[in-house]
Amino acid sequence: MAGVPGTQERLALADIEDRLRRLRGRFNRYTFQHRVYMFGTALALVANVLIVCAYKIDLASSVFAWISWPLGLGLLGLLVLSLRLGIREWANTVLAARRADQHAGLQERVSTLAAQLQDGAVGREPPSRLWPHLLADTTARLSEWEIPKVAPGRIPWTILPLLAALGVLSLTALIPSLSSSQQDDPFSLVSMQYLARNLPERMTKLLDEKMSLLPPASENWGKSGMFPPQDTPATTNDQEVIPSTASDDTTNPALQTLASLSEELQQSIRDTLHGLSIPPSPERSDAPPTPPLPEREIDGLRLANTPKDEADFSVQGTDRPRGGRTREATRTDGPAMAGQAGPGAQAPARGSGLRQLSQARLGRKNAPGSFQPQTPPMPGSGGSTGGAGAGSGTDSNLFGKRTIPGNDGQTFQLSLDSTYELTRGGDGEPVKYEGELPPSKSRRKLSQQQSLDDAIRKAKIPPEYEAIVKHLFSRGESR
Amino acid sequence: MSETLSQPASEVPAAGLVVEFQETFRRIQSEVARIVVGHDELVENILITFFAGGHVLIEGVPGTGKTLIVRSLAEALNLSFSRIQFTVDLMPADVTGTRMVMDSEDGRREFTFVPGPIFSHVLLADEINRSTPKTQAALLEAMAELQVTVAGTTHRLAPPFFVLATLNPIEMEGTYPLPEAQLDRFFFKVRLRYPTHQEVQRIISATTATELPEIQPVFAQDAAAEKIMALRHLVREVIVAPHIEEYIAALIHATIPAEANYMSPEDKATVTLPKDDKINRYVSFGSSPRGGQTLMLGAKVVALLNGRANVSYDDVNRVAGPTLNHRLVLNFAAEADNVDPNSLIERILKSARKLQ
Repeated sequence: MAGVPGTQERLALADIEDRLRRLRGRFNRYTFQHRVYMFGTALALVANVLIVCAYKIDLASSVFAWISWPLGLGLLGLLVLSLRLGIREWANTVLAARRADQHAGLQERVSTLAAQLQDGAVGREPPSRLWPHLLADTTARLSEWEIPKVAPGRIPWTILPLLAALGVLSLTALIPSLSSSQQDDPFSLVSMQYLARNLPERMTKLLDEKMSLLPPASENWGKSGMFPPQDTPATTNDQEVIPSTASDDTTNPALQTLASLSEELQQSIRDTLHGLSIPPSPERSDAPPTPPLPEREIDGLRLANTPKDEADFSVQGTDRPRGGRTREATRTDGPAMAGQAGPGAQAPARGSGLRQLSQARLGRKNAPGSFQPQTPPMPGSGGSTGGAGAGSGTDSNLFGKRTIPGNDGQTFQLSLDSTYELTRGGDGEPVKYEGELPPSKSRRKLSQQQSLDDAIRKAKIPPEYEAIVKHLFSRGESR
Repeated sequence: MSETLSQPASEVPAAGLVVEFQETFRRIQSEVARIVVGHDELVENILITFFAGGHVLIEGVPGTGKTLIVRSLAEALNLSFSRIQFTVDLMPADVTGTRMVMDSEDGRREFTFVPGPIFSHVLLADEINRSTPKTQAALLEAMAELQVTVAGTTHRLAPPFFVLATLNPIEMEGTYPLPEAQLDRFFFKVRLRYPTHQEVQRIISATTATELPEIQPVFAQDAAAEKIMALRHLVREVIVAPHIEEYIAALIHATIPAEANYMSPEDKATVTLPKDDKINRYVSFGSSPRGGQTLMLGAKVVALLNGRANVSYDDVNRVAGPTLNHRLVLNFAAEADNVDPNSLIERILKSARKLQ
């Protein structure tokens, strides 16, 4: 060994070379992480924007394409740029040595040595008489450039924006699930304000729902309380659908989850959904506890309760779900509510909260320029056109296939355009409509009771107006 | 120390060579400092130039010790010294020497070359800008090529050959400023500042006493030239990394204005500096490649002086000022705005930090 040219240099340089190799690995690992984190941040932000745009803009529209394509191309450009910068910053041995010189103030000793090594100085004629001095000088200063000093093992700062972007992305992905199913646009200001007010509650509820979806019993998977199977009791008339039995509801994990909530929370949920202030009934404690419907199911029932345009129904039949859904909801809400609802009652009087919400939605739907689907929505397509209570972004067949018994699997659609009505109280008396009257809708096949609820019919005609009309008609007759 | 210096350089270990250089340098510096009060940086720059094999242009007002510095240096180095006072009627033959009719040993008359004062190791060209360009050119040719040609015969100058030229910045009437091409042949241009209050006091005290300090030569007279040439050779053996060379090239290119003529259309440099606005505005011509050579050699001397066998960025920056300040040809706008070349060099060095 001693006679081999360059052996002494090799032995002297072994530690330096090893240290440079490890330094280079650290620098390059840091560079790689830095670039990956930066690109990941951009990716998460773009995904975030696209998710919001997907809710705000029609996916099939050109606006979405105009937004998504530049974003995608920008992301691609950023990837190429990151690769180029990464390659440029990728440290070879000399560059790692230069950084070591810079960190430790070694006056380019290590980098000069590394450059000589790269040129193959070892084993050849020494490039200079001063080469041994450089070697000895650098070796003597090994303690001045320990690896932890020169390149401490640290995580690039770019992980912070990455984590922030991932957090925002997670929140954005959760918002549709967290927001109320009454909102078509979960990223609207109203929805966001509502969510901000009830975030902990919604989070808990979402967690419970997700946990309840875990199959405790495999036979219940895919069954729906909303769309019961063929053995559902037949409807009594064309407005009513007899709900499934309470025993079926007790097997629904979602109902069990809602029932497991405290009474105050359940009451709060009902108030929020219906605007009702239901006094606690003394019968409640006596009657066997009937598990209330979960919010999603209640939403669905409430939506189904609203009168629809005739054209919205694709199925004409006696089992067409209408106001009977309300009765179903009323019954399932408990004995107290069932007692309040009279035989001719359609639904309990809506509170101001729901009415305001419905009016707000109507105003947005009817506003000029607002989004209207260009094609009639297909049953079960999309979250917004899903079954009653399905909610935005939820699998429309979550509670089973929505078929009406006895109709050979034909489906119907409940449009969200006709969710307003005048309702009556539980005692059968007309309830005074406090807000602005909704626009007139076709009510050709409304039931008699519903026809009586018509606002024009119930409106009082002022005597002055009556006198004017009579005077005009009398003139016409005389003419 | 004397044994160490007398030992052949090839038999001395590498570390010993570096130490020998450092000690020699410091000894010369200290010997000069016995006579010359203050001007430590100036003397160091002169010695850097000397060991790098260049020549120095000293600019300073009269009476500040230019001649004394050069004479002291020659005495410390134990080299032959001559002085030429440049005047307007000085002829080239007065510098280089001339052929004269002389009686030979056999009684015949023949032309014999009589060497001029340039044939010495250390030459002081005092107020070089007072002579005509023709005479200046004769000196500058000798500086560059270490030879003079008289009547078709070339005469080599004995190494080491070291010229210290002085410029008087005042009394500019009747002077012939050195052309830029001739300025480029000077390794460094250093400015001799006024001595400080304390330095003046020491000068007065030291030069008016009965006993004047004497300089002890660092080298023996017969071995001085050889030793100095060995040390000059050692300077050139200092190892330079490629990124230092790139840095020097970037510095040189940074002195060239963006709109300068004679620029190479295809310059595929990877390590470059952005063109400074003030450079573009005030500089007509930047440094030549000779400036880069000067930077490299000067940095090597500084590296050895600091006990290193390699050049660092700091070494280059250390010599950038005296190397480049006379190589930047400023335009009229710079004169009108009273722009100092050193301020431009500082800007370049500041922007060059990102390359380090």
